[in-house]
Amino acid sequence: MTDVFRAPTPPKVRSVASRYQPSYFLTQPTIRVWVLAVGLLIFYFVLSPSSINFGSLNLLTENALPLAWVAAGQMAVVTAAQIDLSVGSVMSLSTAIAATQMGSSGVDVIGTILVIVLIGAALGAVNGFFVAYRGMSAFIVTIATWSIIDGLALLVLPSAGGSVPNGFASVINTVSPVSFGAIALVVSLLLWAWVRTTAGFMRLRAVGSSAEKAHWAGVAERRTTLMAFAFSGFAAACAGLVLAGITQSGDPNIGTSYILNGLATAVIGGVSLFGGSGSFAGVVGGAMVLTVVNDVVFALGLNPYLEPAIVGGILAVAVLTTGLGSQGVIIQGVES
Amino acid sequence: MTQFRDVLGTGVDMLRSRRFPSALAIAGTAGLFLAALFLFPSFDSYSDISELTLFGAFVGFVAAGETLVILIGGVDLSAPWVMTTGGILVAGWATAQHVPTVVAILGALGVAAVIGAVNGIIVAWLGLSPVIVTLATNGLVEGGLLAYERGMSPLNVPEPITHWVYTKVWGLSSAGILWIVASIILAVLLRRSTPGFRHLATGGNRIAAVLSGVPTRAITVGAYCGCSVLCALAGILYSGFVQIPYYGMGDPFLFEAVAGAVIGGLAFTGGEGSFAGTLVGVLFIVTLNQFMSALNVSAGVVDLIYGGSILFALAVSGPGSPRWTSRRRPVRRTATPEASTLP
Repeated sequence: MTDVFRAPTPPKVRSVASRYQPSYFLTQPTIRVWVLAVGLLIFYFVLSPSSINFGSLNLLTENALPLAWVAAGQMAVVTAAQIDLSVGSVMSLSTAIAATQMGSSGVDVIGTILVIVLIGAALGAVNGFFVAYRGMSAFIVTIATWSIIDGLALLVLPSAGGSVPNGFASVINTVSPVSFGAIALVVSLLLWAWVRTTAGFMRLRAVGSSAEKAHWAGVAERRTTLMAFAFSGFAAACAGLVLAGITQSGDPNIGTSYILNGLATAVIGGVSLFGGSGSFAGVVGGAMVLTVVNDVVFALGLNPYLEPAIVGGILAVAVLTTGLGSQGVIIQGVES
Repeated sequence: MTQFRDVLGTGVDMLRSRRFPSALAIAGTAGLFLAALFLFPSFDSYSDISELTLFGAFVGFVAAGETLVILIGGVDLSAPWVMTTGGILVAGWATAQHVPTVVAILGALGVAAVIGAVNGIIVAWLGLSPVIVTLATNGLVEGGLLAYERGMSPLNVPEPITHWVYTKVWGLSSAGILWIVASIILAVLLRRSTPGFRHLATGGNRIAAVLSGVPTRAITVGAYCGCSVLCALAGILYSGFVQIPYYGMGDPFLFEAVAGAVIGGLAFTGGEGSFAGTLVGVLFIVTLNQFMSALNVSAGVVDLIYGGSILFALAVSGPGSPRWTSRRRPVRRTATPEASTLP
């Protein structure tokens, strides 16, 4: 009889990882991707001990730089819950312009660089205009502009070739004592440390979480989306300039592989495809992962064709372990 | 005056309606074809219609698959390598291992169905973005195919397939007829059958569909399955056309297929579009291709015209901004309420 008055057993509370437990850190996308990058790097060094030196690290950052920059632009757009597939063609166009129009004098080089990044930002802003002010799907708008910008690149430079001034190439290709890539990555990480604290970035995240709520909270959501696309075009143009410097020539098709790899870098770097969250520190980690995977495939002597499968596998694991639970279920039993 | 305004308004509404892109595509196709007849003496209507339907079939099956997926608000970026897989598996099995051709075709379609089911299950049950899921499967399928074939160069396609693809019936290619008939059947099923209606409901408003008892997850898996099977079929037909399938042969088709579907009036938001529209859109793309190859313009101009025609089709049919952002332009379509604003 006394059973009736027995106190109910307290419900079992699933322990949540607290900030002070080691497992907490593994739930942070940025930390997780860097753990993966360092792990892969160690694996690579075990495979080829001869490349344990400062020079190979310099080379690594040099190769990761264009990917990290193009993914930074993609990150801005994805944080606003959009997607930009035209970044590859912007890269192609900027290598084409750099390889055909850049003169050898210092003023000429700087002027051409400025024109190229402005063209990139303007093309991105066109995407942003159609998406933000005309309500079109970003996916299909950027597919269309991808084709158009590819056409422009082919008109500027019909086939791979041309050349960039030696001064420009030698600055980009500096690898000792510290590579241009390492310096550029550190500078952009420092910039990121400032950007992530600004109100502008907070507005971007707000728009990505819910454009309508951001609108009612007084955020100019259309202008914010447009700026995100403009930044994406700017970043892609910068990445294209680096590629032009590394290859010392232009190529109207060079950007194609960067469309999907840039998106993959951003996602592996912990940027949520549902919008509203992303970190450039994670994106740099993602670029490192993809670059080291490239080296590992080479060191293992695997068929280079297997690389897409490995990248796809990492991507699948990254998505499966980060995207779950955030947006999957809205009402009980109703998937989003 | 009011009457004039009404007429004008109706005209503008018609231009802006979803039906317009199909009409535009039909007019564009007919115009390009007639222009080609007059401009190029080498163009002869009979053999060229046959050629158009043949090329249309390759793009068209991929486009029909994409339509299936985009109608439920998804997208399938794994189409290129699923297509390649279809062609290469059939060639490998039938020519090197002497499997009967029909069995090889069914086997390849089965493999494609499994790939599509994996896509669909991940998208439906884990709620992940279809862009990234199908992007990842595209890479995995590429690697898997190369590992399975050990990177060997592919073999000849079995003779019956090539023979069948090059057969002409009533002046149309047989592959083209298969594509047109399949599109009509799909179009009728979509508008006149329960599964078709559930398909549209899932794409239109998923939460309303779930609450009305539509098995949206099963529909999603079915759509991705169907898309992959249609892509593999396109790959088998195309390999019959080129006779020796090659790795990466599917790569250009995704872009053309999506462009055709969008010009045919398919909305990326889901729930709006038709297989008939996609058919017409693909015919437009293929005619445009032929026209430009006859004009002998450079690849850059081709790309410009491609992108321009997609943007134009979007601009005349665009849904406009959702109600809460609209300040100057009148509201035409209400945005689907954000899921997170529901109680």
